[in-house]
Amino acid sequence: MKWKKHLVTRFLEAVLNGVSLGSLYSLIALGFVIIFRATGVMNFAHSSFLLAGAYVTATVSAKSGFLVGLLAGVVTAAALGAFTQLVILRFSKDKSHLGLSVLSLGVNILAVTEITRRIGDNTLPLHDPWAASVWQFAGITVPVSRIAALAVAAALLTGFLLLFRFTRWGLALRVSAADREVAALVGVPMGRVSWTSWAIGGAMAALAGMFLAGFPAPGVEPSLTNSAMRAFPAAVLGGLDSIPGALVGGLAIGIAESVTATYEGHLGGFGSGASGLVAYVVLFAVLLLRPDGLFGTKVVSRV
Amino acid sequence: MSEPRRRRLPGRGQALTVGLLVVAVATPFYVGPFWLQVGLTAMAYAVAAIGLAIQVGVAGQLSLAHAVFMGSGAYLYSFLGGASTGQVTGLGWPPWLAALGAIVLTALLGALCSPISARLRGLYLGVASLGLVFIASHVMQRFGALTGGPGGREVPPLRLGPLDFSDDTTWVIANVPFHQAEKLWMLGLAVLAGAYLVARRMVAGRGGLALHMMRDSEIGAAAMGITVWRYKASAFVIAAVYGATGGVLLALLTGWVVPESFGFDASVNLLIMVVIGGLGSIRGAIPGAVFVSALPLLIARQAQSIPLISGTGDSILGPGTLSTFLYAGLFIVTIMFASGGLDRLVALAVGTRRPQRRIAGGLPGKYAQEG
Repeated sequence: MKWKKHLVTRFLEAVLNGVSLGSLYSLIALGFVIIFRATGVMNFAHSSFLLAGAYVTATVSAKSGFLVGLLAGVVTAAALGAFTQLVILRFSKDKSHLGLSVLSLGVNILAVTEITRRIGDNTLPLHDPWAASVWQFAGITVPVSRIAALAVAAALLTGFLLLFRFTRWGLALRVSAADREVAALVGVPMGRVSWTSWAIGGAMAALAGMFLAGFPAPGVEPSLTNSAMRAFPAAVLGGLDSIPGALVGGLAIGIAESVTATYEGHLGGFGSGASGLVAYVVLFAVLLLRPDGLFGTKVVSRV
Repeated sequence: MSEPRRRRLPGRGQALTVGLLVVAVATPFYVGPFWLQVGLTAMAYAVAAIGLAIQVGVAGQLSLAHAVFMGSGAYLYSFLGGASTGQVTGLGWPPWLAALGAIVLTALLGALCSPISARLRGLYLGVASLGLVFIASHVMQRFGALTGGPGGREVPPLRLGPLDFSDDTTWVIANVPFHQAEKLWMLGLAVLAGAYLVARRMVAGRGGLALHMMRDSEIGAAAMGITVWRYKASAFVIAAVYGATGGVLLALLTGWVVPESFGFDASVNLLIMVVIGGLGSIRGAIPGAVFVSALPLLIARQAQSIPLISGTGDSILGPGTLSTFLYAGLFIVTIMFASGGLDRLVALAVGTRRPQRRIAGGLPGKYAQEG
């Protein structure tokens, strides 16, 4: 019976880690969805916001302590988001959603190249208070950083949902997602809604990035953008314009990735590293069945 | 299409094309190996970029995975034409058959994307194509027997009947010895010219009209009797064929293929090439490809004489980084202010404007409806 218990614990650990990882993906995907709802742009620069936030957090916290560093990272990423909207996207002559999305890809290249250059071959430690400590309960071992990530993500997600439901900004976001022209006509300040959405999306990405760079990951490295890439499927999986979709999609991708990471060793040489792919495999499977994602609005068009 | 045909200024475009061709054919007689290498790289990417220009620019199918098709062509050619060694297996086919097989199999790969591509629109497709990039790079890294893993594998030299494109034999033409680079230059030039002409014909024909229409409005196109999924699939197949051809060329000139050449960055660079070239422009894709692929090589060569780079220490600005800044900046400026891209410069030189296709009832702008 001993091996059976071992199997169960291992699986539970994988799921728990997955939920925590998934909550981070949800956070990233949510920022993504907010930006998409407010401006109709698929933000390919999201991974650069995440990397910028984590990078600033790591460098500032080395000197001034973790909390100041975290604040600086979040502000930087939010500023980068607002900058992208206010300076780049707003003045683009090509206003089509596809054109603007590809434009955000350009921003991503510039920002990631610059941060990668600054990081070089180093791995920047985060100086986070929980470091590499782990938490044990009934034979299950989970890093404290993962618990913290889950708690913070849950708090942020709840906070956002409250904002979204009960404030004027939330109302404005809902209206502008429903119909941009009507929203502008009834007096929604579209410009302000746009850039605040970009800033909030950036801030969320920075927080998620900080946790993704923490234990068990070694620290801030350029490859952090790969984790951000796995949040794209999370957003698309749930439906690009759906907030519950982002939450469910993030959790699904997180759990799938964590479970695969636990068992990929049994898949032979081809399996190792498969956890990095599973997000996209899940995405393909879902999109084949539901092209607008799980909760996305079905597009009805008139010609 | 009752729009009157625009008169071309007779001869100017043709004269320019012929002039460029003559210069290109004469080049290997005069320049050294470095410039041949730059030109060959540019040609390989130009062939691939033409395919992406058709897929993204003409058909409106956003793809962030074009380097996958290049990689598929390069690796399949090496696998089909290479010999088995201790590390990697190869089928040892004759090189011409291997090149053909690589292109055909990659076209099949393009067709395999169609269940997904047919169901997705615009941005969703862009994200799904990211998946292809990651899956492909996983395959290239882990299928060691076929790909040689992270270290890559050797590429067999090309032989077409009596023509040997390796360094084993040297042709002497007009007292100039033709080594591998010079021979491949001629081959690349022929392939590029052929690829360009075929692309022009495809885009100008009925099929091209259908692709344009699908870009401007899928539903409108369907209502006009265009089988949208079939044209989407054909856009992918065309892109795959061009990508694979470019990939085989790139493999031949480097002699060794590694996974990094065909990752996410490479795919993004290809997209930058077609955007800088002017989205939807076949002729613009070529200068776009030349610019993006040649820039890092040129900067690396001139590294000593350019300030800012070539330092040592933590924050060096390497040639790769500097050129990325330059072409990414140009990419942003192109989308923001000059969506015509380099195509407009070509048009100025040639003296014609690119005829804008107007779809009856639709907007002339790009992606007016979808996305």
